[in-house]
Amino acid sequence: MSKITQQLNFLNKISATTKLPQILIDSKKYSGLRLTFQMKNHNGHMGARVFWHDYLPTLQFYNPEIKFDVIRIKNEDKQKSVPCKLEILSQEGTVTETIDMRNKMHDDIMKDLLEKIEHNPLPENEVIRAGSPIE
Amino acid sequence: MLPTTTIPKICIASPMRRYLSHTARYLYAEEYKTTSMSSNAPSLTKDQAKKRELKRLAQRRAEAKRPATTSPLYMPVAMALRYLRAAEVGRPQSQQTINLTTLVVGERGTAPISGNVTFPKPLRYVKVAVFTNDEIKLKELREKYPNHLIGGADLVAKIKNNEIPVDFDKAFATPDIVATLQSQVARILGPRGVLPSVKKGTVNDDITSLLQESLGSMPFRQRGNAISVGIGKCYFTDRELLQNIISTRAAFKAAVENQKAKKPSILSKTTLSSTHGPGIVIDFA
Repeated sequence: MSKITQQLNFLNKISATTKLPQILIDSKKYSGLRLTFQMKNHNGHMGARVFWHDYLPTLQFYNPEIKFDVIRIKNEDKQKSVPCKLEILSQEGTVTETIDMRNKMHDDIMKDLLEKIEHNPLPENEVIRAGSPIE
Repeated sequence: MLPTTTIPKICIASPMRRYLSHTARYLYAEEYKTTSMSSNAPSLTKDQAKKRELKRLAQRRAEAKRPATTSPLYMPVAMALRYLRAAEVGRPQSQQTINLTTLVVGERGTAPISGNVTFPKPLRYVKVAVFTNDEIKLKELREKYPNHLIGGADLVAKIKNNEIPVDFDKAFATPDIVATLQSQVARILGPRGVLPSVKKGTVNDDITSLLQESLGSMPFRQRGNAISVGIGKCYFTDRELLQNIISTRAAFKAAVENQKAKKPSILSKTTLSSTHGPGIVIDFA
C-alpha cells in the first residue's frame, strides 16, 4: 500500500467508511457531548476510549457546530472507581441524558447514543470522500 | 572421488565431471570478470550518484511546478481544517497545534531559508524583557507595554538575586547596559538564549522599533528540505487561520527573495497538518 493510499484511507475513515456515526445532530437543540473516562483501560473503560478514538472524529466532522469534550482522568489504582459516562448537553448547558459507558463495547455505546439523541441520518449523497474531486 | 568399482558408473560420471569442471572454469572466469569490473566501480558509481542526484533534483523541480490541485491529497483549506479538527477531537488544547510545512527545492550548498512571520492572530503572546538605563525611554516603554519586563540596573540586580524568574522569551537592550548584563547575568540568561547581544541583533538604541518588529513574530528556518511553522490552534476560526496562512506565505516568499544565492530556491508542495492529524496538501502559490 502506498503512502498516499494509506493517507486516503485515514481520511476516509473519518469521513466516509465509518458508517455508524454518520448522523446530523441538531445544533439548535444540543450544545455538545461530554465524555468522562479513565486514561487506562482497566475497570471497563476500554469501550469509552475506543468510542472516542473510532467514532468521535466522524461525529465532529459532520457536526462542526457541536462541541465534544473529552475528560480523561489519570488513575493507576485498580481499586479506585472513576466515573465512565457520556453526557448529552442541551443548548443551555444542562445535562439532558447520561449514558453509562462502563463495561460496554464501543458499538453498544454508539447504539445507546443513537437511541438517546435526536438526530437525522446523513443522506448518502452528502458523504464526503477524500481523493475524489471536490466541487 | 569417483567410485571405481563398477564401470557403468564411471561411464556416467566422467562426462559429468568434465562438464562440472567446465562450468567451474566458466564460473571462475565470470568471477574474475566481475572483480576486475569492481575495481573500476567507484568512479562509475560516483558518476551515477551525480547523475541520480541531478535526476532527482529535476524531478523535484518538476513536482514543484505542478499545481497543487493535481495531488490526490489536495483539498481546499476549509475542508482540510474540517478534517484536522475532526482528527484532533477530544485532545487537550496544548496538543492541537496546526502546522504548515513547505518543501524547498534548491541546489546543494545554497544557504537555508530563514526569516520571521508576524501573525495577525498569534499562537501565544510572547513576553519580552527590555534592559536600558535611559530613564525617559523606560517611562515611555512602561506605559506602552505594561505586561512586559522593563528596567535598568535594578532589574539586572533582581534577576541576579533570583527575585524575578526568567520567564520571558526574548530580551532586548540598549548598548549602554550591555557591559553590566555581560558581567552580572550572562550566566543566568546565556544558557536560556535570552541574553541580548549585538551579533543576534537584539542590542540597538532604537528599541521601540525593535520591539514592534519582534512582538508577535515567530522565527522560522529551513531544516533539511522543508520549512515548518506552527500557524494556529484548532479552536481558531477559519478566518483567523486563513489570515495566518496568508501572512506565512508572504513571509516565505520574502525570505526566498532575500536569499543570497546564484540560483534561488523554489517553494514546492505545501501541506497542512496537526499534532495527531493527517497531512493535507493545500494551494499555497
